[in-house]
Amino acid sequence: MAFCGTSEEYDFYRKILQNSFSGNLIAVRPGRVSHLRPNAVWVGSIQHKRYEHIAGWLGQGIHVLTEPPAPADPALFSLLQTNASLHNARAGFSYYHRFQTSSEKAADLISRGVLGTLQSIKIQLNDPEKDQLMTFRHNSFLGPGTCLIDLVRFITGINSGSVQSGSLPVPGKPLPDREINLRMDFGGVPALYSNIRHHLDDTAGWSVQFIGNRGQMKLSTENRLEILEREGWRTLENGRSTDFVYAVRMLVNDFLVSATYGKEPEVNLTDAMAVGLAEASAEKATLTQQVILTGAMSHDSR
Amino acid sequence: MIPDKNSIIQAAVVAANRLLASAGWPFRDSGDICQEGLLRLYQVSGREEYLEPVKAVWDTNRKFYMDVNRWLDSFTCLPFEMNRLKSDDSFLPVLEQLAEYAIKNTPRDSDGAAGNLSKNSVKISVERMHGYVLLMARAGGLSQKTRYLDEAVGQCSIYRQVLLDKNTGLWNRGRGWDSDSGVPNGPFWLRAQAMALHTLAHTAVILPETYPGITDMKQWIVSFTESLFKYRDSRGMWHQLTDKPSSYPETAGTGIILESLYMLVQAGWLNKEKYLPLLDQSLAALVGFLHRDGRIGNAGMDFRIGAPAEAYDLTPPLLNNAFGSGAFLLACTAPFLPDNPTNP
Repeated sequence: MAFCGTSEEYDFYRKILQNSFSGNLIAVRPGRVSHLRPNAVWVGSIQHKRYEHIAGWLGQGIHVLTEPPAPADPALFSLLQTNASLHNARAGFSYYHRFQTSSEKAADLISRGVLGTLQSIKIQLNDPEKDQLMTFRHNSFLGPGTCLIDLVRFITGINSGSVQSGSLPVPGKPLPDREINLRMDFGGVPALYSNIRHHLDDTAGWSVQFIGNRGQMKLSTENRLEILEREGWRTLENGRSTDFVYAVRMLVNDFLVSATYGKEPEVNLTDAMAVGLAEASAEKATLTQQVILTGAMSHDSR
Repeated sequence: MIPDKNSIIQAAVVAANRLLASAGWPFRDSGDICQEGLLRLYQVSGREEYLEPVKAVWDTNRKFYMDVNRWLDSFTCLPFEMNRLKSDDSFLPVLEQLAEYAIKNTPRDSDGAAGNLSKNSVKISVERMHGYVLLMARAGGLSQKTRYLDEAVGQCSIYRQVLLDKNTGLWNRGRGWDSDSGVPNGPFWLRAQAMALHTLAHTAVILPETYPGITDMKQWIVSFTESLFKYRDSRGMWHQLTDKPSSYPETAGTGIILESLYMLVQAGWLNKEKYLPLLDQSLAALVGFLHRDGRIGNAGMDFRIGAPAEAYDLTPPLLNNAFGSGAFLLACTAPFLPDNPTNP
């Protein structure tokens, strides 16, 4: 598998995958990929002609694993999907947080109805530097926060359908320090997204709180999952700072199985589309105050 | 090559276990296709743990499932399935009454298609055809009364005239939902194709060999199947907008199509040598969408009939779509049903 990204990223991931990776990972400049014709390409933070390259590789039947940000342009998704479909190539996206054991447990609890009916969600991004899975800042409107949008979608199973309002308290501040408050909607469940640090909250790099009519749970940095009981918060999963290694290995190995045997990656183009469109509507909401993504009506959004 | 039974059934078991662990699964709108999927899994695995939850739903909601409107809007006719599996014939006395009631009271549009009355006009949809035709076919099959079979085949014919697009060979989803222009409501949504094929297939296998309309039915099925295979992608999946490879590969529709096609091949309606290898390839592709936690990826959502193509195309699928799980179970079990002549 060819890796197209910075040498810093390459070293980071190679170290993580040591002794767990059955493939051969080599660093390659994007312009050399078509010449080398690897079985698969892993795309890091390259920016120049990023999706032009990816569309071209899929069109050559080369499987592609892509780091965030996801594209926000529907026409680009159509192009990527067409090329992948016509040339039997798989496209994966690396939202690693899904593969943390705490996230899997949280999704299971929601599915079993332990929290009852979901009433609201609070997404708080304090300090992405505290999370190794957010090490490389993403150059997009929500930056590392896109990982949390995907995480909420993974855990609840529902899409972010609209962004109802947004504000930029400090307009004009450049990325990645822009302060954002958003009111989002996940299948009718209101969600508050903020990257403005709340000092009264805990010191986690990020946290996502799920509030149901029968209970609450909180997921946070370092693979930690807590549930609110009568006596207070009880820890269900108390991870270590190195647990991110497991998540990266799981996602990359899942993609390798896709590239080798043809199965669909667990995080695929439709997942990227969900995050990309949500991020685009969030950006627009800071200007227009309201963006409704589609007229979709779900039979299964509960 | 016939798919490896153990690995396919194991995939179905993973999906079924996840489904059964989900809160309130039988009472979602998609609960009925899930029940049918679980019944199929019980048939091929012999494991009572997949029959018992469905029986429990049936026993506690018997009255609910006797409501003809429920039958017309559901994917599954649970009483019919329970009768077939467990010889529970308690519903037989009312089956004909329900069919008669539906014939007399279902509104018709100007072409005679049984539809839904809304705002003083009759709107039709593939979903309504599915519910109505299968009720008639099953009533005809069990009562041996040709009247119901005629009604079933007649409605297939009318609907086909109105909703089948001559250029693509694909089905529009309905007519009359956004205006009275008479123009069918597109786009060529995959699940509409799946519901149309499911209607034709499950009606066809009920028809007696001597039934006069059987030749027409065979021609409809063969030509529609040929059209569908023009739009299958390189790995064997069909896409959310059937005629657009730029839309995502969709698992719920693909699952229902596979279930129907396996059944048609097994019953001799389609050429086994031609289609079985293609179906096996598609089934392998579909199984590739099973997540490690038992969820099925890329199962598209439902939309308001008349919604624009962009809504179907650019709304990402849900990750907790129980309809996708039910369709997945139907597809995975279809090649291995006990009365399947291709069963290894």
